[in-house]
Amino acid sequence: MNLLLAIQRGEVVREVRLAREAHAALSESMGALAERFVRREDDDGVRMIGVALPEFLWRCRAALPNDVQALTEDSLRDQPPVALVAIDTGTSPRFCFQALGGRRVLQEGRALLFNPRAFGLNRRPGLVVADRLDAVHVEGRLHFRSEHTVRRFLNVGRSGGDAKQGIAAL
Amino acid sequence: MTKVAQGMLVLTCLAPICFVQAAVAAGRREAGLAVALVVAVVALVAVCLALLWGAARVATPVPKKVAEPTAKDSEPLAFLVAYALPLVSAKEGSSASLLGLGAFALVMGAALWQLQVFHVNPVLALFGYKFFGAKSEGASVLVVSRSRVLAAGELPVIRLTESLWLYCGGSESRRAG
Repeated sequence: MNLLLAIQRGEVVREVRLAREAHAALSESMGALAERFVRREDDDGVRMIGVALPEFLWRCRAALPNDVQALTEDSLRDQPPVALVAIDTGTSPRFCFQALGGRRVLQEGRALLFNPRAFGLNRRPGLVVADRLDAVHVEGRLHFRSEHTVRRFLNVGRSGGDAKQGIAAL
Repeated sequence: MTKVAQGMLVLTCLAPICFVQAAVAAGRREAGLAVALVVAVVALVAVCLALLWGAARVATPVPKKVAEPTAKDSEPLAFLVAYALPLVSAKEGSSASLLGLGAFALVMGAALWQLQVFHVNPVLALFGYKFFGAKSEGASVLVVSRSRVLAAGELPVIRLTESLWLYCGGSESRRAG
């Protein structure tokens, strides 16, 4: 993973800046999850369609564009992201998606975090990273479990018929 | 990088000037001033290196598009000649006061900050860093690198400021230089 972006409503992406340790840990876990997802090792209904990603994401395939702003405390509070996308940039980029519901965006003072002695309220907002992916886009194909979930953060076709046609074509 | 850190990086540009002034003061038998300036130089150099080391250790590089990189080799030299050489030739009492040097440092620091011309920093050049002017999606950026050569393309960088990027390329690119 070279880039972690947050998708907000209105096809807006923001960069999730990570500390080095967090980046290393997330890279490893996202990579492993993506491998399992694409190979369907869990085999729990992963489907695949050939589809191009929308431009607001696809333009991040090689490098972070200069106009992409960072996800800040204020933007997290004002416009909570609907998904996280971890990108392995390059000539064959891989996009790993995790949908973010309201319960996975921590507002300040709404979560109890354990510090060395007791639980304390979180003083800053945060994001909860899941141990599963909702979709992976690689080599022009979108692997996903639930079309309903994917549609929360990605407009991959105007109607259900598009996805069905894609599946049929493959 | 915070504003304070940026300010410290700007101040480190002035270390060589302090060093020259220290030598001038020593030549005039002003031991106290010379020692104070040498201590200031050592502190500024340490801060400069610590800032870059800290940024590379804490922040994560991101791939950024860099085009038309051109080395800015002559700028630190020009900066030194323009601002340090007059100190050597100054007559006794004309510019040797610590107060005068402090005022000069303040004005220079403000100017360097305002113009964001970090590449005039001779301290970084001394420790093997090179500056490259480049374009990124039409915007002008300054890339600091340990490599002698910087190729255009998607490069892993840490953004110290909006326009000052630290290149974090692999050892292959360093060997290439």
